[in-house]
Amino acid sequence: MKKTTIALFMLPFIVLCAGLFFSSYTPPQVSSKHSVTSQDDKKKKVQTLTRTLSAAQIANANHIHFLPTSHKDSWFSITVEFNEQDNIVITQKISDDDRKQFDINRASIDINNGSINIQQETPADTSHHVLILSISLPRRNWTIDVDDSLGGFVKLINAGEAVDLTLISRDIGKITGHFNHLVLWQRRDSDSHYVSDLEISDATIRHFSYYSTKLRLTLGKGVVMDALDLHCDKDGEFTLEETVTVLGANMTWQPLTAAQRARLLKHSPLQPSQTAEDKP
Amino acid sequence: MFILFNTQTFHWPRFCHYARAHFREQKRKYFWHFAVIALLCLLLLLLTGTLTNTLSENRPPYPYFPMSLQQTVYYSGLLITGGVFALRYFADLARSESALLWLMQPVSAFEKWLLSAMLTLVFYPLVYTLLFIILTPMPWMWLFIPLVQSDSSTELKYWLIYWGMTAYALTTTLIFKRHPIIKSITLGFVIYLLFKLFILSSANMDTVYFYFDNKETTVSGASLIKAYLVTLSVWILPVTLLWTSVFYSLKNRELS
Repeated sequence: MKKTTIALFMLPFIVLCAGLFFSSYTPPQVSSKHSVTSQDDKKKKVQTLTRTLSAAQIANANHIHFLPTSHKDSWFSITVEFNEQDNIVITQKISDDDRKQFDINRASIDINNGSINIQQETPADTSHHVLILSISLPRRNWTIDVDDSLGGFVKLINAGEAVDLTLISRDIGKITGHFNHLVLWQRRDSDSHYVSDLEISDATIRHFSYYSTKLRLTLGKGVVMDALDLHCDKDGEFTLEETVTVLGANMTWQPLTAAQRARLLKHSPLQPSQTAEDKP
Repeated sequence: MFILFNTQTFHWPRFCHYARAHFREQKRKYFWHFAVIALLCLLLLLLTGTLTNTLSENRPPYPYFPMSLQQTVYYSGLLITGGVFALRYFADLARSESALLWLMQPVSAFEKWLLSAMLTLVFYPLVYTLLFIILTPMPWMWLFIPLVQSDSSTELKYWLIYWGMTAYALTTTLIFKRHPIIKSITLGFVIYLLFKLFILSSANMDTVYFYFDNKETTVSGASLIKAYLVTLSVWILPVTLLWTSVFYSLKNRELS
């Protein structure tokens, strides 16, 4: 056997060793171009991450993902450019080894001067979760694909607007035929309570199967929704366990017009520049 | 352009002829390989579906096979069966009579290397994926299809492992003349243990998986360059070098 053959065979492993050794001296750091502030207290770690996208970035991208700077981040907010023509849908994806320990205490939208600000809080003791906020851009079919029911979704919904939802369970063993209707909850308080469910004048289950449930609902109140969760109401009795079972939601809708948005802002319970944190 | 394909190292008609001859000779071996995989896949699916259906409180009337489980089964299956496929590719060289026949084939070492690369890197994953899709009893929207999911960058690392692993299997079966498969597996296990004991404990896995997990985080400047250097030296270079090593081992085997 030639020595060169053996040397060539050993070379990749040497390079691999060198790379692995080198990795221990290269901890990833947070970029200076993003303003990141953090404060710790006994209960939660707060971090704010602000990133502004240029118009070109928005126009060219289909999905823009934001990841927390570390897996232990419990708080962050993201600011995204939002012009008159564009409408933005924000989705979030959360994965956690232990879903029961994981919950979102707060999600709020602040609409101010054409920008959207989303704040998200999660308990500090969940060290494994990864939170991804993605933005789907207008004039395309917006498909929200949430892998975790706790992620919910955010949408600016106009008063009286009918919304078609298709719920898809990725974990099909759990979304079985007992639930009779779904409830959209609006949550805005800091203690993870579901404050008020929205008035739903019509919620019709159009199709039901083990794999997916399609329903059309019309909202009676014009609101800017906070993060919404789809909750199963099993046999009329709400149980938290069952909320975890709806693991996905796919939604497709048209963007809002400028007039719709103006009306929507007028009806918004949140004033411009006011976040849920500021509310009494 | 056509002239480039007709040199002494690579002659396109000769390569096509060699590929056809290879398939004619090996079709029975490949057929049984994929038949066994299909059988194992079916058994696994039935077992998983039955088990999870039994354990699940509200069980649906069909096998319960969520996408995350499909992904795990797909990639572990690809790595294991692909490794076996690569280990068996040059297995004929262990027998002196078939080795002589194989070495006397009127094609260049480059063409032999190219065919082995095409079969292990393109043909095998394609057929394996097709089998997986056909055999998984799921509607298309819950069916795991590799590299079309939203987090396909994380899947890339499995493919790099697959490419590296197959190159390792091909190289070692060319280097070891007697009992190449057993020696290859043993050496692989020893290398894995050495890495696990001495190297991986000191490595920063966040940086190692930087490209796959934190692609769009806010890392920049010198840290970003270092992270990409680590990605290059841990993931890209070893795989490339291993495939280069396959070629030189093949060439050396022909000369020896």
